[in-house]
Amino acid sequence: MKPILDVDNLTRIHGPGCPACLDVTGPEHDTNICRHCGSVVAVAGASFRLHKGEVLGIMGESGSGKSSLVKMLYFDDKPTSGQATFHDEGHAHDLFSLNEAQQLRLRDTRMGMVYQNPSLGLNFDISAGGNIAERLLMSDELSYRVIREKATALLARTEVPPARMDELPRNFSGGMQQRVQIARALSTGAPLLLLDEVTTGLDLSVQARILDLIMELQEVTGVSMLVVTHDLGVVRHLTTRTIVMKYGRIIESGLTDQILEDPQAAYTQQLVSSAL
Amino acid sequence: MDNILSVRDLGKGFYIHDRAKHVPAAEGISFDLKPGQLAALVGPSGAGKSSLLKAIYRTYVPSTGQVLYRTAAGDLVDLVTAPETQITDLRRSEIGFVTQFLHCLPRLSTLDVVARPLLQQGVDRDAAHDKAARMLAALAIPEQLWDATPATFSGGERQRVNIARSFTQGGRLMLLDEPTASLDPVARENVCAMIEAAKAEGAAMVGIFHDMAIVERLADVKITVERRAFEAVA
Repeated sequence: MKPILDVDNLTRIHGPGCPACLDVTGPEHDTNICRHCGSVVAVAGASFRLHKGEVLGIMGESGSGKSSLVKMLYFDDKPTSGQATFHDEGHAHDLFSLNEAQQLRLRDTRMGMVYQNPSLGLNFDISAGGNIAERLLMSDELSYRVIREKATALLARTEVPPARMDELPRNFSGGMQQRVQIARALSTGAPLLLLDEVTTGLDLSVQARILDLIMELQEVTGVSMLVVTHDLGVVRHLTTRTIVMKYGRIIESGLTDQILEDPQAAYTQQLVSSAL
Repeated sequence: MDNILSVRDLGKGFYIHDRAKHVPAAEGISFDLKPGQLAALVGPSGAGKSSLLKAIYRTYVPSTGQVLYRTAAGDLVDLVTAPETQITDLRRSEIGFVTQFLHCLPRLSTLDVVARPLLQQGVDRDAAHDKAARMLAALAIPEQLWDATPATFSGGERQRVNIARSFTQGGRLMLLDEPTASLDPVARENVCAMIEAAKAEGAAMVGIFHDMAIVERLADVKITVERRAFEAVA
């Protein structure tokens, strides 16, 4: 299997930071706040590889650093230190040494992000179709007719009724907003998709259909995905491998069924046994 | 003929952090298997038979030993230490696991559930559906139900759908965890026939069967698993 993303020793410290930050935080200290300088260690020394076509879960409770991690990969935030390499079309992009224009380019065309909060991933002031069109325009598709056709097809694929294409997504249900976000993220054929708690807060039946849709799209397109979630069910249904985070550290990783059925770390054992 | 599977001194124990306790499940299991053979794990309940099966599949991290598997490409791989990505590849194309339980999302039709592993292997839709339909028919799932989701089925029907899916996917090595438990006699006979057919095509299997008559009928090798002196905690 070929790698698509290599994350190497990624660290994000909010606050002034001091030489002791990493030594006095983490699961063994039961905190992510440095007692010397008060900084919050959101992510510390995270390293992993995502392979082409793979669906990798990042699991942990709120505050574990899982969202911080993907936000950096999507350039929503900058790391304090560390590297990430995105292997795409024969290039190995060293993500954090690219200039801003190059980063935007990757973000707009080669990576997709679906946020828990649809207002972050969608422009609520333009129509659902317009949201797709916007991203297609950034990928240099300029023909109105082609854009309209593509947007229609994408929304159909994510099961947004064509009749609603010209409506504002702010008026949609949460599940429908996620569908538009997914359509938008997929629109440019990006090989890497980042999903941050995409089903959190939705009704159970809507959750199941969204998961189902994501799984189907993954199978059809072969897109590689990082799936951030606190929900063991999401991990079980979508992913083949899983990383477990706590206090910014990766404390365990393995095959998803192994993580769920034979967790090795004390924390993962607790997490798994506390599921309903 | 070469062995397809050589299990050497396989053991599994669990460390429960909460109770600071080590719980042994099984130890010292060794056996060899050639293509077309079935090894039955035999022993009282609680002896660790399922744990061994899961340790071979790597759902459980084995504590000791080796699980040497000969791949279709001819390589000898220790499944205990193989990289996770190699395990996922092998699971997709060569090694299957059949349980009594079916986890599936509510929207998929039965036919799609059964055809899915083939679609994931890249088999085209018609061929996958064709094979799925044959398996469902062989297990006597009425055709009227194929469009419905198995989420609405009875326990026995679900179990048969699950078995149909596993055998549709096939595999060079199949791990069977009580595939015939709780089935009626007709369904049980259908499943046994399916296992025999897969063996005849060269699939090697490791299985757990509650019913000793089935063990006598299907097994080429019997491996006795003793209950551990130290009882597993619930």
